[in-house]
Amino acid sequence: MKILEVIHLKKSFRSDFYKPAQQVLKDISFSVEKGQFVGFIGPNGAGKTTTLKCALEFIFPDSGEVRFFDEKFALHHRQKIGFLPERPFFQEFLTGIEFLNLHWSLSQQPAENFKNRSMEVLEQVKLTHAKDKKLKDYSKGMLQRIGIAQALITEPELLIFDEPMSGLDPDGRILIKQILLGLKEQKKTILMSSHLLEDVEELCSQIIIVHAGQIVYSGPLAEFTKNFKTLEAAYRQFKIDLNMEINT
Amino acid sequence: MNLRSIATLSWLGTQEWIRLKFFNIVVFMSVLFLGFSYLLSTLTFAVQERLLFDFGLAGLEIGLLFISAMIGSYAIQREIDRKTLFVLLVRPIPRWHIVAGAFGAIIILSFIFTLGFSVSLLLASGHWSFVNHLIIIVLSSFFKSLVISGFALAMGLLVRPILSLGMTFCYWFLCYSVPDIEFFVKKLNSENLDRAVKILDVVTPQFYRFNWKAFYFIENSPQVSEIAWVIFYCIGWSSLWLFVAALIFRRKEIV
Repeated sequence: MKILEVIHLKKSFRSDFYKPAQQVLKDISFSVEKGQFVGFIGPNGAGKTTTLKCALEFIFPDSGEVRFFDEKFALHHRQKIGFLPERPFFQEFLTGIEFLNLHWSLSQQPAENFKNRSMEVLEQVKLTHAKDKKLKDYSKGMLQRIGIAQALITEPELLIFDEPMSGLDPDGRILIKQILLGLKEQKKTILMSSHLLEDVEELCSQIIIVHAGQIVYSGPLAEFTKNFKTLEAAYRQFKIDLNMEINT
Repeated sequence: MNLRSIATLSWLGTQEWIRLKFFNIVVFMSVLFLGFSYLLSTLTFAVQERLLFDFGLAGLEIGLLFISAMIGSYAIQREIDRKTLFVLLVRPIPRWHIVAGAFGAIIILSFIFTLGFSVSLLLASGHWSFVNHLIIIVLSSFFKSLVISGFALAMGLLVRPILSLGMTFCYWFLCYSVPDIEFFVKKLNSENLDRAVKILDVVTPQFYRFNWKAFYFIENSPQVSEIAWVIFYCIGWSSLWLFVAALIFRRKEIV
């Protein structure tokens, strides 16, 4: 079953009204199947975040379609989606538990189930000790983890993480990676954008490579790296091949 | 339709603006204004209450204007700039709930301000017999502020907040000034300008028709029919601006 399907997505941006529009997404098509952990990789400015924003309707594509659970995207699909934005900023005057309660309430979940569920996710992201601390007193790694907790709180079927490990110290990265590995073991469907290839290699079963607004590879990670020791080596060679192809 | 999310977002906005101390500053300025009015009233030979209420009610309306214009212009754009909106937008709530939530926060803060200010005014005057008439007058100011809030919210989504703030103050002036503009235009003897002012009068809320923030109206309360008209008129205008804001936000790209 296709949990997420992006079909021929195109998107242009105009920096000023008198300047010509720049096409950021040229033709993006891919799908994410149930239970897959997909790495969405590519250089900065390739269109990863723009694709995710189009998929979640933060911005609107010029053309193309996004389908969730084999249906056209509708409001009720958001019940089944958890999202962690890149470098998340939250309402810092709330405590961890208040923040989770906010998202629980906005997701129209029954209030009586909140206590148990919030304790479960706080345990999962190892933040039980900080649940009554204000978010302004959280470290960057803790903010990232409470962000993951808000994405998980409603037990979504699809998790979308935008650069979950960017800007974290080694300890923070290890903790986040442990949480993500735990989610992988639970067979959660995850789409994770990242430019940290070693993390993608460790976590993902499938990869999608985006380059200059186009998908240049979409398939199993094992197939992509079969002749190489690491994903980084495979990726480097792939880019060289791609440039040669463009040049010839 | 589940409207619980609007209440949640309204409360979130209220907490945010109290934390930012903007509301506290408005309250502090208003207390100063009220103190100044009280001081003036004690120094006058004329009717002391007149000065206290004339100044005090003007202070109330200005305070409400600042709350409406500032929060209305910045509420949503601030969330966009700080990127706190992303995790809210991904929840299963329609976008107009976010606009309504911001409006709800303004209603809560304006109501707290109006209540506090009115009680202080009564305490300063010592005339509790004015309470019924005062309620009517502060309600008219409160409802006017809802119209201004709706406008500020819509403009805050369309242009940068600082520009929206300026536009909101101009709009507030315009809502009171159409008869003055009409007066000057009549002297110019221009049919086109005359027509333009007539159109302006229709397309802007006519606040000058219920400018009751004066001691005269404390002594001579408006008719019940007038009060009902003011409430429906202001609810109509604020609903219209909220609808416009929701329409703008519906297709606004959150980059």
